[in-house]
This record gives sequence, structure tokens and C-alpha cells, in this order.
Amino acid sequence: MAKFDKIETLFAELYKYRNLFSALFDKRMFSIQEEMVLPLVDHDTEKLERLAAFDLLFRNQGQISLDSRLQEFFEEFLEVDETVHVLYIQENLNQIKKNQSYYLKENQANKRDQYLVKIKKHLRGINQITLQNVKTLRSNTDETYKTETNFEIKKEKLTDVRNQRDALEGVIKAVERVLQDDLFFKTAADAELQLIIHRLRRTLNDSIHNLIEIQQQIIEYLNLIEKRVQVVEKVLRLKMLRDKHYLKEQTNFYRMVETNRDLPLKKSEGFRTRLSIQDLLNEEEKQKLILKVRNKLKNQKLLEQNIAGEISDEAFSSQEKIEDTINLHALKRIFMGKNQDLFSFVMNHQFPKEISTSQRIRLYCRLASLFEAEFVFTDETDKFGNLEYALIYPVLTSKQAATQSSQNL
Amino acid sequence: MIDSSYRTAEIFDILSKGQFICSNAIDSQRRHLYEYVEENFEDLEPKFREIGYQLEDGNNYYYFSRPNESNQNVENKIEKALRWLDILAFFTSYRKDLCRGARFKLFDILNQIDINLALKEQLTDLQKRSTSGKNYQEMLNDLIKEMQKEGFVDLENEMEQTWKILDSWDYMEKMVMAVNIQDGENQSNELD
Repeated sequence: MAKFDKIETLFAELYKYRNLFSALFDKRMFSIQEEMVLPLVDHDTEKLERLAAFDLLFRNQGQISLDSRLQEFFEEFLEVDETVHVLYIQENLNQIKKNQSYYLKENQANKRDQYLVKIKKHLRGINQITLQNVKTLRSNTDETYKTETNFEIKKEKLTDVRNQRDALEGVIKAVERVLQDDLFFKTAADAELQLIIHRLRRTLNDSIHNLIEIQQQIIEYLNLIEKRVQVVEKVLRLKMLRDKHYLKEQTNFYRMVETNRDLPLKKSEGFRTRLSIQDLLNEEEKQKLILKVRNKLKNQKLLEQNIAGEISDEAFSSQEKIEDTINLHALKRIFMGKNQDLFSFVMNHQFPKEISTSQRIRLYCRLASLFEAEFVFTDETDKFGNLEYALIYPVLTSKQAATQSSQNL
Repeated sequence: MIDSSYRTAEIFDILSKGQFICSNAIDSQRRHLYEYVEENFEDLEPKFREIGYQLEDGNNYYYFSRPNESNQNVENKIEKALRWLDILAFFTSYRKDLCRGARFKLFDILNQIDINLALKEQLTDLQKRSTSGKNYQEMLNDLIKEMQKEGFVDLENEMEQTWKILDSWDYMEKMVMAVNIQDGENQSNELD
């Protein structure tokens, strides 16, 4: 693995590709395709390879990202870190304790000074990290509650934030205890160390206050979520009961609604108001309105007169019907050829369709009246049921008369 | 003085139709009206009480009740309350954290309907009366419009079809929360 041997070369490299690093940092939340950053390195993939070889970049299957150390470095310095590092403080505290022990056991003055410098460095570290952590925690709390849309995840994340907060409080208290109880810090003679301790104490004090507030905020958010959970459960439970038709039996829903007198639950009621007659008489504007309405009414009547009635639906459906009629002339012709009285003929004739007796009787009358001239009405009558009818015969043509008379002879 | 009686009339107009005056209404006029009611609650309440309407202070919203009314159409009320329950259940099935102040998009719900059969069924049930020949988008749109008419949601962004849940949503939830359910234990006691 390639390594920078001087800070200058590392910085020169970082500076040279500052656009690339800044772009990668801005998009650190997403996966970035190599092609997207190629313009920033003059379309030279070898440059990317070189940076990757120095572990400044991380390349994987065409995707590219900042090395995690660089990312943390940037995040810390730009104070945009999104994770809470409780362990960092603990680590610093451990280092302080270790160096303190070395310091107390060391007899050489210049070596003691070195330990003291380290202690100061770690104290400053704690100061910075604590402030950063508290800030991050606060924004995480709000952000989680406001932006996380998945209900279950939201709850879990907030519980997580609460645990982080508790851990952070624990560490801060531990640091405070060390500063307060340890003889080494209480009796510190070094002016710079005193100043650092003083600042750290104030920071820790502020942080604790902030953490208390954050805790209240988290509890409030969790309570809100808890309330929502209750509402959600109730709604779904009632819906389930409703769908199974248990709502009336197992709940007081119906009774509750019955006694409810709230307007939103009712159909809205309209109000009828009358016009003031005094106003109608006195106000010019209203009189104009009356005339307007009057005109309108007149027009309406005229319009009404002009309008044809609606075309009924029946008009659109076809009304074809098949009616059976009997060709009376054809019937007469057949009768003329028969030697039978009209009534018996009509009663016995086979029609293509079955015809009722009363229709046959009607037919008999119609034939008799229609072809009166061609029939012979005898004085004889016969009976059909309770009807009495005249015996009617066709008028014999001369030819028929001849054959008939010959038959008689 | 003219201003205040005008306001009173406006408030009466809205509330007597069974609507709400919400603190988070989209319309700024309505929000101002809310503030006005909030500031003058002490004066307004007896005025309305005199004519038989009780001005009710919900949680960030106001509405009327009629304490002295006897012959109410019970059947209609139950029908409406049941419908609210169905609607609440529908929106809750869509997203559990929907409550006052939340926003939702028509198309987000449509996407959910696509992949959630229970949601699809609930919507069809809700719009049974007028479902003939309508697609899910139209049904959902009708449902949301109905909620808008009753004053529970309002359109925030027309282009994106973003709707905002108004404070009055709490009224429906409160109603549901006030219902007592007999649990299995009580029931068996009663049976004994």
C-alpha cells in the first residue's frame, strides 16, 4: 500500500483534488458512480486509481466513495457529524487517567511535561466531542420525529436516541467526577491546565442541562407516539368489530352517537329567512331586483310554452306488431263454392290460425253484411247454443243452378 | 363594532353548517377567524348559547353543539359516525402516523392501494354507493373531496395534490377513543 511520507504531500494531494473530495463529501449519503466524478479528474481513471492506492478513496465495482477516515475527519471539522460518539469521550478519559498515572510516577521534569501536554490534548478533545455530541443528539431527536415516516422505525430510532443520550450523560458525569474528585486536577498548578479544566467544566455543565432538555423532548415525542399507537389500535379494533357486526353488541358506539348533540355529526340545517317588506318598499335596489325577477318569470312562462314536451322513451322503441287479418273476399270465394249455410261454414272452416268461437260469430256477421247481395237469406233459422241465426246460402250462379236442378231431377 | 358583529355572523354561518374552525386551516381568512374566536371566546360563547348553540372548544378547533335539541335523526347520525370510523380505518391502514397536521399525497395512497389488497377493498367499500364505472383514482379523489367538504382535510398544493389534515381530525379520533369496548372478561361476566 502506498503511503505519504510527509504531511505536505498529503495536503498537496488533497488540495489538488479538492473539487473531487468536496463533491464526494457532499454526496456521502449516496452511492456514486465513477463516471459521475470523471470530469473532476480530467477523465483520467489512472488518477482515481492513484488516489485509491493511497487509501484516500474507496472503489468498489464502479462505485466510489471517500475513505472513512477522511469522511470522519471532514465531518468532525465541519461539525456535521450525524452519529453520537460516546466511546470517544470514554477513550479520551482513559488516556487521561493513564497519562496522569505516568505523570505522577515520572521523576524527570521534561518527560512529565510531555505527559501533561497529552493530558491537556485529551481534555480539549473531550470538550470538543461533548459539545459536538450534544448538538448532534438534539438535531437527531427532532429529525427522527419529524422526518421518519415509518411508524415502527420512528419509535425504535427514538428509543435508540434515548439510549445514546443516557450513555452520553453517563460519560459526562464520569468526566465531571474525575475533574471534581481527583486531587491531580483539584490542585493543578499549571495555569493553562486550570483554564482548560475551567472551560471543560462549563461545557460539561451546559451539556448536562441540554441533555435534560433533550430527554424531556424525547419523552414527549415517545408519549406522542404512544398516544398515536393507542388511537391506531382503537381505530383498527373498532373497525374489526364493525366488520364482524359486533359493534352494536360489544361497544357503546351507538349509544354514544345517539346522545351526541354536535353539529358536525348532523346533516347541516338550512335557515329560511324572509325579506323585510319595509326594505322592499323603500330600497331602490330591491325594487330593481323585483322587476328583474318579474321579467325572469315572464320569460320563463314564454319559454315553457315554446318547449315541446319530452319525447317519451317509448317513441324510441320500435312498435312493430303483427296483426292477423282475414281476407274476407277470399273467404267469400271459398264459401261461394260450397253448398253449405254461412254459419256452419264459418264455424267449421279451417283457418291458418286458431280462432275463437266469438270471433267466428263476428266473422259470420261481417260476411253477411258485406256480401249481402251475393247471399240468399232464407227465412229459416237454426240454433247454436243460445244463439239463433239465419241460414244464409250463396246465390247460385246460372251454371251452378243448372247443375243443382239436374241433381234434383 | 360593525366588524365584530360581521365576524360573529361569519362564525355562525360556518359553525351552524356543522363545520369546524381550525387553527391550521389552509385559508388564512379561516386561521384569522380561529384566532378571533380564541381571543373572544368569553364574549361569543354566551351569545351563541342564547340562541341554542353551544360553542365547543376542541383541541385547536371550534364547533357547535345543540344541547337542547330532542328530535334528532338518530339513524343519520349513526350512519355518519360509522362512515367516519370506516374512513379513519382506511387512512390508518394507509399510514399509522397520519394525524392532525400531517400531509398526504393522492398518488402516494394510490401507490399503496396498488400493492395493498386490504386498502383496495376498504376503498371500494367506502365508495360503494357511487362506484359504478369509476377507477381507484376517481374513488379516492371523491373520498378526499368528501373529507374536505366536512372540514377534516384541505388541499395544500394543487399541482402535487398534497392534502393537509386539519386539527378537526382530532374530533373523529376523540370520538373513537371515547368508545368503550367490553373485553372478553366483562362479557363472560355478563353472560353469567
